[in-house]
Amino acid sequence: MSFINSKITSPIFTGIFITSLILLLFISSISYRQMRSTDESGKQVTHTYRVQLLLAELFSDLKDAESSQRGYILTHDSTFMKQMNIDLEKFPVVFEKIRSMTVDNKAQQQRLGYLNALIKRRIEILNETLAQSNRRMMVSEAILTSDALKSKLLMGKNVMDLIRREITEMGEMEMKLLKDREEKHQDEIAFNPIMLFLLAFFSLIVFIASFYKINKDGKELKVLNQKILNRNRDLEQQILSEFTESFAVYKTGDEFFNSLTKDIAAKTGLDYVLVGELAKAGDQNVIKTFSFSEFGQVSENIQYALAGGPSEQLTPGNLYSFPAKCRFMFESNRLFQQFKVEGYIAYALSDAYGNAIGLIAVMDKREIKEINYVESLLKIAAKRAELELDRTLNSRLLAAKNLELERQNTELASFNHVASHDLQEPLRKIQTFISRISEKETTNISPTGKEYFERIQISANRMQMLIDDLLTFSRTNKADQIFESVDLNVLLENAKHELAQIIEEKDAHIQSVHLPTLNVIPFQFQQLLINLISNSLKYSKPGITPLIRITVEIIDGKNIPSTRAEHQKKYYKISFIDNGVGFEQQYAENIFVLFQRLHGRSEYTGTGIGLAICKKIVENHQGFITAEGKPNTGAAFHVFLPAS
Amino acid sequence: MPKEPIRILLADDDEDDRLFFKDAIEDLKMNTIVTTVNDGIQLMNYLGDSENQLPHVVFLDLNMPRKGGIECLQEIRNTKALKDLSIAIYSTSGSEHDIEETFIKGANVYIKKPNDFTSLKKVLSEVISINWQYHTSGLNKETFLLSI
Repeated sequence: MSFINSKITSPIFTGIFITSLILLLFISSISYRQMRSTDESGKQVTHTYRVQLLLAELFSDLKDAESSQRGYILTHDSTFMKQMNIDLEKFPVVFEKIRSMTVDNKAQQQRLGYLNALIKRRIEILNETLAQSNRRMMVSEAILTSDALKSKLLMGKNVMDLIRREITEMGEMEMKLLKDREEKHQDEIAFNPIMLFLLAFFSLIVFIASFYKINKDGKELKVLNQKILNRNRDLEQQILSEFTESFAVYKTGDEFFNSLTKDIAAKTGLDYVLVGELAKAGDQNVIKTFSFSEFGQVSENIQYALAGGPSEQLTPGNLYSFPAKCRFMFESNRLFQQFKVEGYIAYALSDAYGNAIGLIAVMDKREIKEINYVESLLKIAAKRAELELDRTLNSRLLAAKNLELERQNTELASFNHVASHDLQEPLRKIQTFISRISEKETTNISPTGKEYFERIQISANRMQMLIDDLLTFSRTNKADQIFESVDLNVLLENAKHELAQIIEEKDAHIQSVHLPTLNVIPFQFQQLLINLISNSLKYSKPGITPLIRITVEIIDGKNIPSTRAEHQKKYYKISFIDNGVGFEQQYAENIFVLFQRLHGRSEYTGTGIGLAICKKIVENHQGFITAEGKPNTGAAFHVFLPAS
Repeated sequence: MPKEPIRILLADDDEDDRLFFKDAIEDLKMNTIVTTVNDGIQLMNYLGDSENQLPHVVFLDLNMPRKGGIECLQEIRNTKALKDLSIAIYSTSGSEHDIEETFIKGANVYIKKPNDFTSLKKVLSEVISINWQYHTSGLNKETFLLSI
């Protein structure tokens, strides 16, 4: 079954599915990471700027404190002093913020620590400057020129420079850090689109390929389905033809029907299969099964009435298809109720004359699904079953006829016995007593009595002749005679010898060509010759020498003017032609009928059996006999025997 | 020297036939002694009785009550003391079947009872005149049926 070798292999589909899944997951994760990274870098930028802002604020606060201090030194206004203290109070808060923001950066923390120290130093210097300033105020007015103050201010300026440098560096470091991160981020963003594009492209290819493949497979699947469908049909055909062939090995009669139902059961898987003849039970139409199979096994035959069922009116050639719900459709049908039939398909069988003679049916306890198949199968089986059923019914008829014939034959045999013994015995005694009387008592009887005795004797002799001829006739009935290859010339000589007395009396001439050697029943054939010759002698014309000519030829069946001749066969035509009284051609058929006579009893002796015997003998040899006659000219008898 | 009379035994159930037979033999005026029995049982009893001299020839009817001619024929041929007895079948039947069967079973001659007295005398004279001693071995199927 090569068509099963499909190109749809599941590993390819699984591969495509898994690849697609991985790709999707990959793309998702990359996108996620990218979004995270973008978010992160945004946060970093904010962070950096905030740190820078805080550093700037720190420096600004310090400068504010410095400038307040200068203001105080110049004016000794306490407002400046207050402002400076406010500025200095803000400082630790800002510092703490910076510290907490750079807590994950060691270098920055170090710098921050150093910055802290510097700031503290600056604040100390501020306080020291302030103290110098206050002292000078008390000592002299020329504060600005004081060397001590100058040095303190200078020192403050130096520390301030250091702080500025440090803050700048810290800011730069943050910037650098930001820049590094930005670059890294940029790299990532630059790399990802290509990657994404490639992935998308690849995915697209995979999907296109998949689509193409699925499309192609779909088409292939369609073709394959068609193929399977065709194949199923082929298989069905094959099963059907196998089924037809299986008939060849079936036997006849019951065995045939059993094989048939078993085979149908095997091929359809249906619960019940039956084939039966249509019969009468009382005034009801019934089916008597020849074979009934239950669940694949031949079961005992059944008989059921058709009344109330789907095939109630059995029409030859009709299909009765009720694949489902039978039990409910035909509630009064006993067969369906008994076997709980759900599906029923049947086919009516007919004989050669188109009369319904039976039925072939399948039944199932479930719905019958493969309706077409079962119907086809049934139709094929029906054709064969019809022949066999017809044959069975005919042979049954033949057997009955044979029995009748045998009975008649037995009766005939006992009649023969009666004829040969019991009828002959009283007759023989009558004849013997007559002969005794006419011998011994001649002197005691009057001439009239003598004449009467003579008439009695003639009648008795005639009866004797009738009985003998009838016996001969019934003996030619026997079909168990043996055929032998016999030279007909010998049989003719025997016949002439048998008829020697009458031939001599009539001074008859018998001319014969050389006769062939044929396969015949010798005793019967000799009887035929005797009967034909003695018939010609009996009806010879007074006053002329009787002449009988016997001729033989081989003739084609088609040239014989008789309906009994088979055209393609060849026949021996043996003719017996005489110059006797002849007969009217219209009686040519009648003369062969038992007891049919053309002449009065007083004119010619005869029982009317002789030619009937001839006809029977020729028929025993598969031939036929015809007669031609012309009154006062002669008669011709033609015996036709199949050559070979 | 007076010849020993020919002993003839007839087995026939029909009284008329026995009468015709005896009349015919009588008319022949041959040196014969005719004994008749009425059926097969009587025949076998007669032949089995050591007091009776065996006949020269037995005329045997086929269709008899109690024991038929064919049965008697078989019994005689199977009995050592009787198997050489000359037997002429004397029957109304001229059927091939009977002729064939009696020939096979060892009868010496077959006579179909004639229809008139003259023929009867003729056929009986012929049978009785046969020198049975020599005839027996010479018998064949063609001459078995004695036709007059």
